[in-house]
Amino acid sequence: MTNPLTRRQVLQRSALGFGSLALADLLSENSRADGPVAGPLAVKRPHFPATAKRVVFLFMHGGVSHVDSFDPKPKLIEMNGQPLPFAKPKFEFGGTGNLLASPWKFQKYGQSGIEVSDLFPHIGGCIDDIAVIRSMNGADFVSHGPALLNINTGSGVFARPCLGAWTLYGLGSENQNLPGFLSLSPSLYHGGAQNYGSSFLPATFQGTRLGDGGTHFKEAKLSSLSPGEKPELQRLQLDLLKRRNERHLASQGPDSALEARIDSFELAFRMQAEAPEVMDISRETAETHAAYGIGVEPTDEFGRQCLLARRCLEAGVRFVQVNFSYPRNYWDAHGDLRNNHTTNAARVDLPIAALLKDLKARSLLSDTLVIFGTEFGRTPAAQGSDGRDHHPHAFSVWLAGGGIRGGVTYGQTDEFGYYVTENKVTMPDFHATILHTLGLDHEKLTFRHAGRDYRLTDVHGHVVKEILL
Amino acid sequence: MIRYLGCLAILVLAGSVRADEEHFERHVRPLLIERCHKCHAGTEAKGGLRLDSREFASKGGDTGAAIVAGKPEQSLLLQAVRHENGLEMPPDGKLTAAQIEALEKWVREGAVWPGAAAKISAEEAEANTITLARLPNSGDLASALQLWLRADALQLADGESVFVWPDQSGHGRDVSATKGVREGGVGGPGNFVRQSNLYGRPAVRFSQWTGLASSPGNPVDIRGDAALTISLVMNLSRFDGQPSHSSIFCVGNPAHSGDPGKPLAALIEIDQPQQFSLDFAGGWGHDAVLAPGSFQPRFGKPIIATFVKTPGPIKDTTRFYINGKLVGPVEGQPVTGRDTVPDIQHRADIGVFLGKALSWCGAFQGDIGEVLVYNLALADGDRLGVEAYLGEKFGLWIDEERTVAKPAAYTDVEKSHWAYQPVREISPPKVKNEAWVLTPVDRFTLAAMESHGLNPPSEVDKRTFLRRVTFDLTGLPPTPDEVDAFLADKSPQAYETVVDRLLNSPHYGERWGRHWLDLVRYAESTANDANAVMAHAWRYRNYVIDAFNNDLPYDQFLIEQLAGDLLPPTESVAINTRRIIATGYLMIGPKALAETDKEQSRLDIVDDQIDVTGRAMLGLTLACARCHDHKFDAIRATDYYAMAGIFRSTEPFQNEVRNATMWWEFPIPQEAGVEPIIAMAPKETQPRNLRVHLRGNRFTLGKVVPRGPLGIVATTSTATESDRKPIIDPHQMSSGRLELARWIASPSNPLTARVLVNRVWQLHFARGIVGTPDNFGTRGDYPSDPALLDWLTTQFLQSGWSIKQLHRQIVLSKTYRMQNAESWSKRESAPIPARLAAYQVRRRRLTAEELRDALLRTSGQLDLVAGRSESGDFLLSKAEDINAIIRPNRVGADDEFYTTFRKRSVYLPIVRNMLPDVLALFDAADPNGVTAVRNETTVASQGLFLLNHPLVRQQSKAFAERLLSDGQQNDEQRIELAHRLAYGRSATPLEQEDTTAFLTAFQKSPTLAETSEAERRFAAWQAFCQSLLCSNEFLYVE
Repeated sequence: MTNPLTRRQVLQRSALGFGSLALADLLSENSRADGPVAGPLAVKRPHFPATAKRVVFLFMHGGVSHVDSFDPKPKLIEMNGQPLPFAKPKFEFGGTGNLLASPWKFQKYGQSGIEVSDLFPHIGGCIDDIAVIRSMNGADFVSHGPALLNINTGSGVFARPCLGAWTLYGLGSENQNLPGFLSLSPSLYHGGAQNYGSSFLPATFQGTRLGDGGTHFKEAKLSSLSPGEKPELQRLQLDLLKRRNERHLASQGPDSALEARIDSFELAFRMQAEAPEVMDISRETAETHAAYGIGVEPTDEFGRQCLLARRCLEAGVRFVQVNFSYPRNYWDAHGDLRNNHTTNAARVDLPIAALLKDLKARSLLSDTLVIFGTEFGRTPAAQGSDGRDHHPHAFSVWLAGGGIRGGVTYGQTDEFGYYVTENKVTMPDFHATILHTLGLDHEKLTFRHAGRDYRLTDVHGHVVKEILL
Repeated sequence: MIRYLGCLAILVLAGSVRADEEHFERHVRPLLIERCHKCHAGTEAKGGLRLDSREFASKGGDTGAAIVAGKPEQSLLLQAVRHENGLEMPPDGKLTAAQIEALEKWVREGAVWPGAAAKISAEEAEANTITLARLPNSGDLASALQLWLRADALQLADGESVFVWPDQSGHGRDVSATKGVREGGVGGPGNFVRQSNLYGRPAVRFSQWTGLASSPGNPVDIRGDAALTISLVMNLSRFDGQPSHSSIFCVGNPAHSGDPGKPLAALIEIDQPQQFSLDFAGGWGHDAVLAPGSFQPRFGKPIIATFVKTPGPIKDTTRFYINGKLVGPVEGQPVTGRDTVPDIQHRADIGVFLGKALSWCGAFQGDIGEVLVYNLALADGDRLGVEAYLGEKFGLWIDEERTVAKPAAYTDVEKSHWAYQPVREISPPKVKNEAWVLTPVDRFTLAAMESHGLNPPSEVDKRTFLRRVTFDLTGLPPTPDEVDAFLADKSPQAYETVVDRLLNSPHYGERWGRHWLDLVRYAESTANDANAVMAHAWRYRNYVIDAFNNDLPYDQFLIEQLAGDLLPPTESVAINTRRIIATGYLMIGPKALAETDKEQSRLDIVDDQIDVTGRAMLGLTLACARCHDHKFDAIRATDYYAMAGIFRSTEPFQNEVRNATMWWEFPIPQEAGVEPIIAMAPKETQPRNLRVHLRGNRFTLGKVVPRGPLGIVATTSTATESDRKPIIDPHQMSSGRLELARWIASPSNPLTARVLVNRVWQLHFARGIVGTPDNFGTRGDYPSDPALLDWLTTQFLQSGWSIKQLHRQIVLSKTYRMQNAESWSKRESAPIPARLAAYQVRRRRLTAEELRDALLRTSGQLDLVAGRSESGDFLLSKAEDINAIIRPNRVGADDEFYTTFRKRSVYLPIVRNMLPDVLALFDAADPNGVTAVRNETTVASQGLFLLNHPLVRQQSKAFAERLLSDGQQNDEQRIELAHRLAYGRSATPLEQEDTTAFLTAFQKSPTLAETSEAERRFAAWQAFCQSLLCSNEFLYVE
């Protein structure tokens, strides 16, 4: 019978920061820090009032076909088997043939009547909370590796901090006893850890990986969070350590670095107590498990990921990336599109809808940004007889909650879905918009490295205000 | 009334406006206004491009003319809206097909623009047009192309005879030797030369007896008074007995002195009676000849010679171009000859020919790289396009004055920046308290402190000094024996003895080599998409460690890394091998293997090499200049592309064009009986000069930049004449890396030695003399003590670039023995001026490597034998075997290997983006970029690691076993030993007491009630040992 908000308050510890960084780079950012101690993970005030306090990024690895999911193209049915009447892009991954009609029908959903294909009936049911962007452009990154890096870090070429790391750097963490940025089952391929890494930002901001794309999420564990000693004994040991360090501090100090180190052990001790509790989804009711499709196939694994994401967000984790990733889960339908997308959609559709509904029921959706993204779309022309190739030139993603206007679409592609014809959204635009909901100005969120200020959006990016409330 | 007026207006429009103007007004102008003018109008127009008048649009922006009337295919505007050649406009969504068609129609029909304003001159428009290379058979050129011989298409080994040189025009007019092949043939085969005198490009070499001719049965389509264009890429030589007319190339039937006077051919030759002049002859006595003697200076030089003839008298209608530039007729150099109209006829016995083909015809000697023949007088734009293609291929400038970037000019302010000035001779300053001074370094320290009215803090005790200097020089804690020996040594040389022992220890290189590896972003995987394992990278790592241990002079160290492969081979196989391995420097950076745009991937690698070289060696951030002139420093985009050309002429991949290809790895043969050593090293490739990539985009090209080093350094006020000379011949056959390396590693380079000296200082003290160790530019810090920096630099250069001597200068000073900054500031009432930071040692946390090494050292588990291939072997054994060439890493950050490996941390496998936990958590360098100063974070995850990670658990267990193994000792002695091992000092009585109480309490814990007494005792000792390893006294150096 707990009120969700109270439960969150209980779960969230004081946002007191700790620690020191040798770099002066953080000082400018620290001017926004709350609390008496300016630590890298201390909660920081955003640049302007935020509509989203936390983020869950549902990442679909492999490339979800836009023309089979959120961007209906009747013209493809009409011209099925015929050649594309204009030139194909300069950069293509493989070769494609003639146009291929979508094997799925599209239905109108909700008050808004936005069309969603039969792949995603459950997500369709939530469409009035969703803003679909049909005009994403992934530059010329036609391979998975660069394209994954592009959506996750803003650069398909250079090593850069990822979106989650920038978010944590910009806002700090609400709960010092949990990692501020978790990546669930990320792929070890196609950029691997770079996709949740901090690059030149201090390592504090990197994503903590839980599981990987090659392992069932049931098996995922957080390293170093299982106590090496029984807690009672570890307490004795920590007390000995504390006495020793305090004697040392008395002779050498005062020194904030030495003091922060002493504090860090206490925080570690609390973290290892709290994290397993938050990570334990068995504490949820059977109804909740059922709603997320846990315990039944094909939704068990992604359901677990989504439910854990909700528990973490509720406990004050700033950014959770939920990956549906290679090699076990992969949207890369070069052949047999029908089978590939049917199988994959059946695994994620229900859990994603359950997450949206659950967040809403707990009054969390209004300040939680939900992102559904993929590295590129798929070619409206067929690869082989029944597949689709990589297509970064136009594809669809969607956002929900956290200040996003629900039940709208933004941008358009041509009648085949080949090119963006209206309101192109580049990756920097997409990232700028996400940061904007978090109250962060993408042009001001900078980090001085190698002699210049770096941004997630480099020197580009416009906030897509049309999809904001 | 209003309606009436509206009708009238339409009637007027229909009645008096031309159709093309109407098209513009209806379809084009609104489109330009709506979709283009937001950015491309007015004086603030982006990219310098204005689309608000015809003149501006014709003039174009940075990339060239936006519209070329009548030529949509040459109009960048059309390319941009069609998303061709890397252009993509407008940025907010592609135009519809109908809109693009409207623009195309408009340009095709002459781009009329009623009401045009703002005239600009034709020259101005011309100056902004950069010629883009054009394939000889592209577009409408294909149908005019009659013959295309290219030496790079020959599939022959170096030196092999060229009996047949295939025609690539599509007409099958192959030319072949005639001597012994055809009846009456006199021309012998040429020789294929892979590295010809055409700047090292493949060519066919002709002697005066070489002749290649096509079959008369398939003549070129050039007859009578036809227009034609002939282009030859050649390098001719003079030779003894040169015939009066040395024919080079001929179409038609040349006439000899006995023939009737009629020009039946187009024969290109060198005319000796005209004192060696280029001659376009129609026949005996009918020719167009350049000024007497004008070809003399061109012997022995590669050129592109193009001859364009339009119908009419031969003298008046022949144009000579050399390297894209009109050389005849030009003012003051008229073409002489006769005004006869040619009547080209083909011979019955022989087609077109090169060199010696007819018995009475003398022939040239030299190399021919390419031959093009068109039955069309190419328009200037087309000719330049084709010549640009030949120029890029053969490293020749086309119309140099217009297309080649001039050396940059610098302002006096730029030239006066401190870091570009020569290193000054300095005398150490005078001080009041002479008694305090131990070495010259101390004079600088003391003078600075005295100027602030401060006395230096006291010296640390010998024990603290030993721990400080041992960690600083070797990255290891001193052993209890080493502590005892140092404390017992009361001689005046005690400090020197210790410092020399440490500098001579093999562990010195393991520590200081790691600093260099931080700078050069060392790793054993490629990062990015595949993160493939680089199994032989460790050879480079060990090269660096050995170089430090052997005190390899720093200048030599740099030269070997940049260009070890280009140094003249020595008699020592070991040295030659070492130098190849050193160039691993150029190989170990991140690289995208699956990038579809291969050239892009190469340019990104070049960018990484420039970034590292700039920051690590020169202390400058050069990479900004990839897209634009550096905003703050005197580094131009042309400087960037001058260096980029050098690196682009060096090939890291085995296949230059294929996607997903393997980098170079090759065996270096060793002495007999020794296995070859596999090196990961680049190779030289076809040298090239790059064009400036406007805004970093390789599809928008500016002027060509001759390869070379940074311009600014050679132009400072004190630069000598020889400093200003180019160090690289931009046409030379090698990349220029060796020249660049020598320029960097020169004592007169004002940056290199200063940057190194500052780094070594920075790693011993709280901060460098220059606080920004990899930025000596204007945005970096000014040196807090320029005199000290220059004094040390002079000493360093005089020592022969010896880094070990530099360490001695520093760590044997009194300055280095002072109490750390933290302790000192506690004792001073006023804050210590920031300027003094550079003279103070700081309290620092152990680096990630030191921490792991100290854990293993204290527990007695560290294997001090140098590592070799363990890291590469392990990564390779676990890697995914995708195709046995590219092997993606599959080792996670928490792999058990990282817990069980016993060698020093510098030998751990380094996987990009997957650093072992112990390294990543404790702020090891991210190998994706240059790390000059490591972070020093304090976070809870480090606490979790120290409390729970198997590595720490196992080492505390081993530590406990080490203490308990000696049954002769009592617990008090064990506690004493534990402190000596962990801290290098005895336990205090309080510590004895506290520890004993802890051990008792721990064993009494009800949690352990079920276990045996021995187990309880061991668990208690292990917990105690771990607490020592987690303690601040262990983790920090004073």
